Amino acid sequence: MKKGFYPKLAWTGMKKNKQLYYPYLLAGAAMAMVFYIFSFLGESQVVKSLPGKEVLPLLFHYGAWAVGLFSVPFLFYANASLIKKRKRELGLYNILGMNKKNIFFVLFWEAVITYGIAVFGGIFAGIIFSKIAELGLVNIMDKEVNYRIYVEWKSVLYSLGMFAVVFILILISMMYQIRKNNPIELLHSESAGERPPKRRFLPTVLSLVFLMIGYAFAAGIKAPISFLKLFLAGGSITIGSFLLFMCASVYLCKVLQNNKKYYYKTSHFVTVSTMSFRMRRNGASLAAICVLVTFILVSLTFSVSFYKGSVDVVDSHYPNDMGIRLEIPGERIEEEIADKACTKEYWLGIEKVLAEKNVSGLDAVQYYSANMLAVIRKGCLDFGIDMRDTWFTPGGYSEWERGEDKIVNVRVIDLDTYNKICKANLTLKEEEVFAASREVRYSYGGVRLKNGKEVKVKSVERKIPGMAEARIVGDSMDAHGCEEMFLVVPDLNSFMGKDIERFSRENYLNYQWECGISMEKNEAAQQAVYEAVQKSMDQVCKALESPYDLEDICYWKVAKGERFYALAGGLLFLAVILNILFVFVTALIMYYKQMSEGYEDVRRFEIMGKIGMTAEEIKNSIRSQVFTVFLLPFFVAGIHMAFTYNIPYRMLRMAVIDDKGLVLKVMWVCYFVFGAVYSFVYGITSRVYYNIVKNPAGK
Amino acid sequence: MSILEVKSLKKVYTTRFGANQVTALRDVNFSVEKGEYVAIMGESGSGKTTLLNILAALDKPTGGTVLLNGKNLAAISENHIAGFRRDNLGFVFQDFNLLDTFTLEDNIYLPLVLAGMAHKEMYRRILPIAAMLGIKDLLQKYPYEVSGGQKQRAAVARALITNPHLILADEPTGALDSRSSDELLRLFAAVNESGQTILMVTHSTAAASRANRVLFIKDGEVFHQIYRGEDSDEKLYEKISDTLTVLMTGGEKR
Repeated sequence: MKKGFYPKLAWTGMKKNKQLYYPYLLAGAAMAMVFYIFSFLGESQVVKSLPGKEVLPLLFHYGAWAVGLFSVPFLFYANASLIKKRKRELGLYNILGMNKKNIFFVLFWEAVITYGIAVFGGIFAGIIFSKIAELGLVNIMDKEVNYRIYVEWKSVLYSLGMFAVVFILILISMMYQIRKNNPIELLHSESAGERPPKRRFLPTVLSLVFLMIGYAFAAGIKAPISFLKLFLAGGSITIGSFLLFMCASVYLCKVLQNNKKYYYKTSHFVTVSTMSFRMRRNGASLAAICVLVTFILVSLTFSVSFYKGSVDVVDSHYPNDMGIRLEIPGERIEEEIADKACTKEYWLGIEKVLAEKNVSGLDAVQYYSANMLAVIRKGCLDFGIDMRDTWFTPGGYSEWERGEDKIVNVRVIDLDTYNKICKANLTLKEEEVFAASREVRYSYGGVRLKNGKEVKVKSVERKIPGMAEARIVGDSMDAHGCEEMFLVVPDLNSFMGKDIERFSRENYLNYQWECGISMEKNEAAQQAVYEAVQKSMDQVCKALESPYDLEDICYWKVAKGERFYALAGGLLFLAVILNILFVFVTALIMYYKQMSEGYEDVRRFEIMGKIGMTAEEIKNSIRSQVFTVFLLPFFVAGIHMAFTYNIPYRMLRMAVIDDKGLVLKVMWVCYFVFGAVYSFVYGITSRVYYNIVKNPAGK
Repeated sequence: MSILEVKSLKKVYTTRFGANQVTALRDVNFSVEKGEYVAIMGESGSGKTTLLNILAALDKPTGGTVLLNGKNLAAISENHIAGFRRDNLGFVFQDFNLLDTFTLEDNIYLPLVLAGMAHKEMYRRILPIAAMLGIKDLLQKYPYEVSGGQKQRAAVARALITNPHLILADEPTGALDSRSSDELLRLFAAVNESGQTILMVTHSTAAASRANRVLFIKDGEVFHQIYRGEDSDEKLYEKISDTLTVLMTGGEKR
């Protein structure tokens, strides 16, 4: 056979089907582009010089592999829609005398050409856009930019390799399909599956059940976040959505058809009956769109809220300009309790530094607290429960999270400290405590101690009076995402009693010493103070032989904040790019859907015209169907979102942003902004449909 | 009174750049009386389909007039033409043109639903028609599930249910086997017996031999016509065959 015959045949085949191939190539290129960009950012020296250098490269590498993984099912889907339309042509080749081996070669060359155009084009675009992406990222973080473009060859190789694997997989599956079909089947495969849709009760009920379960899981996610629950929520909602679009929608149409008064109206008649067919055939695409849209919205909500809320987080994490937080090592606890041996030394050193550096006023406070886990059970804060296995057995904590019961992270401080740092005037009787929590929203009957003794709670406050003003208590950094509460007790030592050892074994008890310093000085001066504080701590620690890493225990808000903003900015950036990709994917699914619907509907509208439907009536019917199909996934995604807003909220809580209002606001803004993008995309893709319907021959 | 009057109808197709003109209909004149059953015969390319499209108001004539019930089709505006077609004409096509998303019942209802009729009235109308056409038990089936003959009977029911002035049938037996064809033609005759006017385009002699009158079209003109008179179907079949022979051997216009 003449050289170059197969490539040429493959090329003409693709050119003839350019309406099908353009979006496929575009999708492949977009995937390759985003993959390259993420991989590039993961390697980029510029990113490595940004404040978030510890996490950002890793984040982008993960992003790249996520895109790579996602591209497999997606390109498979796109290819399947494409090959479905082309089977007829391939069947014709077969009948005209090409054997299956010859067809394999044609397909092979098509795959090679597709790979060449999509992946090389994608990488090329990636090289150009990677610089823009880098600039955008640097810009989000307010850092210096440079404008040199360069190519990261490692990323190019990764991209080439990654997508070679994907396309080989696709080629194999295509060959498998061609192999098992005979030519006549290939010729007629397009018209297969015209069977009228059945009304199926069980999947319909199941779809609702799955959705309910998914929603319940989503709403039931509490601190600490259970990834199993998250996965179950996502999984159930996905399955529920597919069943909903594929079966429940048909069921609804059938029910409407049985309502004679509703069904036999000019405006409903054609629409309802066509929809039942259409949903069966396109339900899966619609469900995919709906799930994607939900995912886009939830992740966007999370990252936008995280970015917006990061300022608050830094403020609440680090209420003071700088400070020290340390945990007393177990073997020192006894002597600490006795006379605050170590912390006294630390504090003296700091006071000296502050005097030297002339930090006016004594805007510095210190306090001392015992932290532990406890369970609220039947309205009583119970320290008597052995919780040692909680974190190490899968689902261990869910044992404590039944009904109103929950795990809380308790911080106990004594009355003197409290009155001093909060300039308060609280009095407590013996065997009486004061409790406060931002999150735990009911009152307690009491507090049960290790020895079974019950202590009365004087009052429960939502906010600890004076505490915010004292700027002493930052949110605990390691609350495991649990809800937090404070206990103010008359005397810490007698409260803990002789059970310290049991507390630390069973309740993860630790003693924390915390001090905070605030000053009205500029960054440079602050830095000088901070360095002096670190130095003094270093000396004291060495003298006391304390095993602390200074980087861990000392913080300077400016530095910490920078790192945090970098993370928030990086996440936002990642989310935005990923979501642009998802929007693109959604657009592509829509495109193929519109096209297949167009070809299905052409003949139908022709017939309607012949038997006396006016052009106007046909147009209205088309419009109402297109509109319903447009609105349905978006509408259902809105419902999903309303029921799952707890997920981004809880995730934010894990990052210590507790602002339901912010989440809800961001969520609806995202919904409507996304709605505009979605309408735009739909507008473009539905043009394909209208063109086919108006101009069936495709001229 | 004639239901349909066609006067010096002319249709010229012009190719896109106006270089070539093809005359499909030169000068067609005929009329159909109420209750008649007329068959139009002709070779492929004789202009049958063009004529039918013009009668159905799917196409506009280049010259001449078509009066349906005294109303000039050309005078009806574009917006009203579909409604007019729906109210006055019933169609039976060679390839049935049933919508595959509807049951047979819903397919039959379609023109009535478009006209905004209440379901009760539709239901009242469908019963006798379905009984007459023998598809009463098939109403809940989809086109996909029934035979060609049954599909065509459903299409006839759809044409009849609006009580149209005229039924236009375009090769109604074209896609049917001979048994189904016979069955359908018997039904057409019965429908005509009950007073329905039918105009059928066909090139099947057997189909045409069931009509009351047969028009022959050749080269865009009515070439000849035969009235049944008192003849039997067989006699008429013979007459048609003879005429076709003459037509094909290029006989002169009589």
